[in-house]
Amino acid sequence: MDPDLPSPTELAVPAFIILMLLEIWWVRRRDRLAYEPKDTLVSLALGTGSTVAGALTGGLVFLMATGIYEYRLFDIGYAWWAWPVAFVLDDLAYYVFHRTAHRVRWFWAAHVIHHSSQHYNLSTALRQTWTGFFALGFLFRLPLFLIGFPPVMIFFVAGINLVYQFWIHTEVIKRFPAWFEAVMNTPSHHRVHHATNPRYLDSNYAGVFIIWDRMFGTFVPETDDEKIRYGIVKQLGSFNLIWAAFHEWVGIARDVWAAPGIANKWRYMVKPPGWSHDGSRESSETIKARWLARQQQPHLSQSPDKASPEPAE
Amino acid sequence: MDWKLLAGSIAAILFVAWIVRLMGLGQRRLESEAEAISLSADLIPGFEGVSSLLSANGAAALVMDQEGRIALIKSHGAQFAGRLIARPVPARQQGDQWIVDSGDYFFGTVRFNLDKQGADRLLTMM
Repeated sequence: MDPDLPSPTELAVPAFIILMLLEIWWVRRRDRLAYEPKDTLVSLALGTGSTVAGALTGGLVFLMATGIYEYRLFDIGYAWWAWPVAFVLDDLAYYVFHRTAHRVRWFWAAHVIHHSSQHYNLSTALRQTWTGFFALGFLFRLPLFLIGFPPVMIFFVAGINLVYQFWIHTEVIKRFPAWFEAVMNTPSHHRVHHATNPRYLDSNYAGVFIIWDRMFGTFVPETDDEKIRYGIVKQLGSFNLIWAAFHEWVGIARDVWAAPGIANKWRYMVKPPGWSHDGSRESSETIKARWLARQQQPHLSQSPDKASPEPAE
Repeated sequence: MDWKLLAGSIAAILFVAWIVRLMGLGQRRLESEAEAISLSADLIPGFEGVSSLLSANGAAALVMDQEGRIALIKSHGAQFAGRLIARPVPARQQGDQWIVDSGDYFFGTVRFNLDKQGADRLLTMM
């Protein structure tokens, strides 16, 4: 018998709103650029749209999870110890999903929405995808059901994971004690993840536990020496809600249509964002590599990097 | 789908956005041509501006690099966004303002307030 569990995200909605209002109150005299009305409206509208999209497709995902659970390897059930284990393993699955979402354009097309704001505040946390189901993001949690964790349990801990990630989207909190920063994902670590500064690209994919980044070599600490710039490499430059939700899908469609040969069409979907068949664009690797090269040339490191092809999407 | 929750969420987001607007948060302008050059490097990877043309209201700039490429910078809420644009610069005059087309539908056109000297400089880019 499955327990009747509440939705952690639905329960958290009032707290989301109160914390946002508190953050707005806090920044009004300290950093008047931290919030912008249109940006906030787009972020929150994307968040609301995401819950609608989730409601429309949630049933199908649950059905798939239940189907796979029928073939489970172990009968874990709802034992007390299974809850924390499920939480940790679900967070690992999130890390794998999130890393893939930044390295494979197909998944990036859905995830880019979350990064498309040039601001970093609590409203940015709610800027969520409308196309996660279409992008097949749910695949990454399916192994947990095959192991034997009940779908109800996994979706509950996944909800808690999502709620945890809300409060780390802020510049108000600087650093926690070292022991906390060592284990948990924090505002400092996640600011790095949202940064477009070359030194920070493709790092800190963690959901709740930063240990995954430390273990798999993707951890980069925040430095006080450089102001963080948020958003995506090629900023949207538009507050159009629909464009924010679908622009990368349009980009994929255009590239696939125009690409020469089947292999290149496929690569435009599965290669990292910014890949191009003729090398005319920049990916995070090329931007980061050029930045690293310039760091090794001290006389050049104070000025921006030299001429290059078009920026990555 | 919990329709009450959805309605409440929509009401809440409108309220939060209204509060942000009411407090006058998120207004920023370019202060100098040097700032525009610095921003262009941040906004367009590999772009190293050497000169710039600033709109009098600080809401936009054109930045040129050593190779003659031109970056169009516009204020975007409390931040800025940029695009490399084609040469000659696709600009037209409308009343007291100059309108530069980014060539990107959603990025749109950008308005410049220019004095005679600024307009002359823009014309040399066209």
